[in-house]
Amino acid sequence: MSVPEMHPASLDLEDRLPIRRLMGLAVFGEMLAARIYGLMAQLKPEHAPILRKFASMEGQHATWFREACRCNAIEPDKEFADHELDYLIAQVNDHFAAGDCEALAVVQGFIVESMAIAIYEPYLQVADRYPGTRDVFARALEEERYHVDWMTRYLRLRFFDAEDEFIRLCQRVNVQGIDCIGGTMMKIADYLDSIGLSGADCAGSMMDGYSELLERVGIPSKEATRNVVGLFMPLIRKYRHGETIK
Amino acid sequence: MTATSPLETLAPPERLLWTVLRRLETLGLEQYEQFVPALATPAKRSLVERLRNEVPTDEALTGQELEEPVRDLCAAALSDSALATLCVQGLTLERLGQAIYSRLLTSPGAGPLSRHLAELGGAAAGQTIALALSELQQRSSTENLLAGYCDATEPVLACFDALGEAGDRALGPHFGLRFIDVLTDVATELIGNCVQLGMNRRKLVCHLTAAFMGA
Repeated sequence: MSVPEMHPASLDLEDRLPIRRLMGLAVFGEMLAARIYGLMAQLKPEHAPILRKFASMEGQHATWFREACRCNAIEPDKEFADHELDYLIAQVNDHFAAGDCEALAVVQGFIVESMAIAIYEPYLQVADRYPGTRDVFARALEEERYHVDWMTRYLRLRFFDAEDEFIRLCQRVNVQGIDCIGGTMMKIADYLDSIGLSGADCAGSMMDGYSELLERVGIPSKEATRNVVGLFMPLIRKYRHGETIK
Repeated sequence: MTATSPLETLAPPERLLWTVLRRLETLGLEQYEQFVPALATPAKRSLVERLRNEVPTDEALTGQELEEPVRDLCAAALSDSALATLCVQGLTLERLGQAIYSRLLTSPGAGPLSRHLAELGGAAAGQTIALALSELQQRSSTENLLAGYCDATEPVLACFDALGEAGDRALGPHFGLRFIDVLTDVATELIGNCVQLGMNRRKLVCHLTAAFMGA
């Protein structure tokens, strides 16, 4: 997908830090997503073709986003993104070293994708402030949903008649996963507010979206809600009190 | 346990907690009597009467860090309609009470009298919530429950943070409770109830998240 050359609106009118950080997270987060799907392909040769395709799609998103940034004179904040993603990379490396593809599927396919969808979807309402971003975010959103659907089917089949095992997997993965990715969501909430979204709505959508995915794989609704809400509560409290989130 | 158990059987943190709960339960009962008499059940009346006997004054609360958050919450929870009362008291604050009562039953800091009162409170809350759900279900075809719920509960939920902070400091160590755990119980049950009433779950979760974030 090509990004049209356009002049950015309100280039001199606003502090660019929020959008630089958000786009940094989008660009480098997509690159990490490509790596994670690549690692999953190594662990699951039987699914390698589709997982490599997902990796390629995520890499393409990163390229689109970077190009859209260039058109809007936005320099993605790599340092911020690296700081946010380091913790996730460490988790991913641990899961890969343990040969735990299912943990990677939950972290990437559910938690990270839930965050991406929760932000990309409302972003479309303000995308025209940054010319050339609407089409690429709309396309990326559509493809992230496709990844989530595939991951949901994969996990449902893998844990068919083994819901307890899936619950144990989620309990193991969620504590670190939500602390890390949910923590990032809290840290960018104010940046989302500043570009015209609602950080709280994005966080709420991520929580609800992730709970819904857990339910689709077989975790009872109340249990899924309690697990996700319970892990977000400390993050929300830290956000509210201006404490260091992670 | 009799209705005339001496006050001395409650440790100071227990007296403080039951004074707070007496304030909230009394307000709830008054709101029900004014706007939704069906929710002023015999069990609720009996609970309030019992709490008035056990902790008849605000002495334990006066001058404490919790006093202001409790006063603010009570002010925010003053409803002006049946729908608001059902949402604020019948669903939200009853769930808050129920979550506290439930955790008190196994709290190492809760003595026999506290556990007995928690049993009474939990049973009364359960009845009231069931009635509130039934009332709201009847209204669901003619009223926008989600909008009504969000409007009515926003100022109340906004008070939870200060209440939790002060409550954790004043009561947490004694009872082994954290307000965020209580709040997790409340949010989980609320989400289930509201979805059952036909409210959009995503919008409700966003409402709760925004309120808890102070957004």
